[in-house]
Amino acid sequence: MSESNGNSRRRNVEDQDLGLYFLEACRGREMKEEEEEEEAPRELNTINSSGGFVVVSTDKLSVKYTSVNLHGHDVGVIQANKPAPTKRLMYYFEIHVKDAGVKGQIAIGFTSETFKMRRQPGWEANSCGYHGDDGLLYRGHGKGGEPFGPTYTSGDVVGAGINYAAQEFFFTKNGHVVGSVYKDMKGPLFPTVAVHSQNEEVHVNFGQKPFTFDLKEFETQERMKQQLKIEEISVPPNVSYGRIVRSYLLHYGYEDTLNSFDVASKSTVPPIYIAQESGIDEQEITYALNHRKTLRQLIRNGDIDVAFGKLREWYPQIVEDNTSATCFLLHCQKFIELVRVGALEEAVKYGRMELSSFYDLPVFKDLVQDCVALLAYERPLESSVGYLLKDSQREVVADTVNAMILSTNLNMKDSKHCLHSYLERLLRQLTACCLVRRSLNGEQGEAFQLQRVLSSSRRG
Amino acid sequence: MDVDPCQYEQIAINEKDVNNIILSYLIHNCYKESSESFISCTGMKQPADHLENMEKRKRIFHHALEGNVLKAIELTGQLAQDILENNNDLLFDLLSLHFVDLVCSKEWAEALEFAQTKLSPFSVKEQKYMEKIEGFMSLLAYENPVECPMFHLIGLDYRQQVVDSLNQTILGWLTSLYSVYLIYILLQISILCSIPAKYDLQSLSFCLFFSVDVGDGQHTLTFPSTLPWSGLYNRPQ
Repeated sequence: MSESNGNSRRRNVEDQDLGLYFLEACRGREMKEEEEEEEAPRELNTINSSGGFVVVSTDKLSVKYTSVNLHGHDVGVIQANKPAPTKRLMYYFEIHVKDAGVKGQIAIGFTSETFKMRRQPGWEANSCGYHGDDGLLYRGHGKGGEPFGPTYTSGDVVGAGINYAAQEFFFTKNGHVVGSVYKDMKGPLFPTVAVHSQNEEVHVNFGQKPFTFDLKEFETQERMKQQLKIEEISVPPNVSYGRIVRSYLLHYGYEDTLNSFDVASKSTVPPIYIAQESGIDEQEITYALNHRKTLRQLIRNGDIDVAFGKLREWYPQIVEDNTSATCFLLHCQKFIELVRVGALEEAVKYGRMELSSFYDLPVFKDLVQDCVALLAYERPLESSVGYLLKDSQREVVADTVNAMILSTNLNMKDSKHCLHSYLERLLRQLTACCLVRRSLNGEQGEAFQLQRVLSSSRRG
Repeated sequence: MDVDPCQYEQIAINEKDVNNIILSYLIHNCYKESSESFISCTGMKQPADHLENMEKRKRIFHHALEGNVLKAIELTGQLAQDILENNNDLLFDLLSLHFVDLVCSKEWAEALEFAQTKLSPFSVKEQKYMEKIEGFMSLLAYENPVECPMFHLIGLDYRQQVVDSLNQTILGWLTSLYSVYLIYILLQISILCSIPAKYDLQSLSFCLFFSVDVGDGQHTLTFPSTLPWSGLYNRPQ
């Protein structure tokens, strides 16, 4: 395979130091904090309730109607202390009807923050409620209730939930789904219960005890439903997955795997001539394949000096500016490798010589500090900066060098193509689309995680 | 709705996930040497069940593709006992491939006997098999089966489809690895999720799912009208 000499194919890489991209990625990788756990409702809100009509137990989980109801504005309605959390597949809570009282006018559902606290959920806009006395569902449309499910009474356990994936409310009775309805309400929604005749009493379970309804199984079914929806789609027969795989191997310089893959592809029945298929501009990513493979191996083995030497020989323009992000990452890696083998004195000397000049540059400062911090620990791998000693850090440096070499190709149409393979761009497209789809749903539903998508595609 | 291109650039993709996708493809398609090479190149941890029975799987679907279906069925039974007994559809499809091979070899008498003894018992189990059998039997009505309206059953595409299904079933039975084309799944999901976007998607147009309209310096995706949009997924506005 012919290699392109860096001198003969010089390209101005000074104004596009792709190393900065990888530097940012490497800093963001370990510092990314876990998404904060949302607070879920734990008890009833005794402050904002129709207090005159109900008595709430001291544990704030039971409510009883003690008055005699005279009209539609003396409902004993009470919300949870927090809105239903939204960054999950579903939210669900249950009530146990201890006593259906005189008329059994109990209701369960969801209401907005501004809901009038003397009305049944579903009687006002921005609320939804499943009512026990008639089994009707009221959705705040001012049209009365709609036939929905069975009535419920003393001894029954009734649940209400939000399925964020399907954007639906669903209700259960004694462990079975009664039905679901489109969720046409926006904004925070509070779990709500209402009692409206003498001696009606309900106990609320926000998850502190096991639910009667098998929520886990219901979630599993929902995921399956989504997965089946995806699997139903027929993909055009001329799409070549092999081509995408091949472009990935080419992009990252996995030359040995690529050669083996090409041989195997031709020996299948029928043979698959992946390399010849049109569509991907392979010349861009075939460029300097052997050099890129060699340098990746050197960096992955921690041979940074040799890698530097090869770069100076093959692509001097990449390393001629010693203050570039690429050089910085290589110097950092050399320092890390010295720490890895316990050559701490040598590491200190190397740090003074090569890393100190980067200390005053804001973009490099964090990583320099993390590198130097390795010296402070007897067991650096177990420390907060231990991520630097992992293989993934070597990969970041190898990817940087790989991208920089690709950027020296005069035929490269877009320098962004140096950063990622086609497959990664496709995955980023998928991620971006899912993020936007979620934002169209008011940021409701599970936060998108590619890992979960992959896991849901498993068999066996 | 548009995605901020900056947001697109900032999306981090975990290298392990991507490597798993690549490895799953190689394992699924029985690229043994490529799988081993990829594991050593990337320093991935070798899964416990990695490459397990890959050679056997390879032999099975080579037999099936090359017209030796009965051998493929026998080897499948040895590799994963009861797998075909528990999957009538797959067993029927494999046996029907053997019937097709007999027809193509012009062994009419043997083909008829095979249909009566091996295929027709399926029609007792379910009506759908009766309809399928009728389709296959129509191949016998033509001296040159290629002239038959059901000639697609003779083609390599149908055979490949059945063999893929067999491969997938065996994988699901044997391993806990990602045993489907994850890329295939991801491409499908990406159709469902596709939305008009500001960032340059021309580089992805090779996937054949995105037809990219270029206007005003922005690239906008258009969608196949046949997609089953439903309440489950928001259709882009």
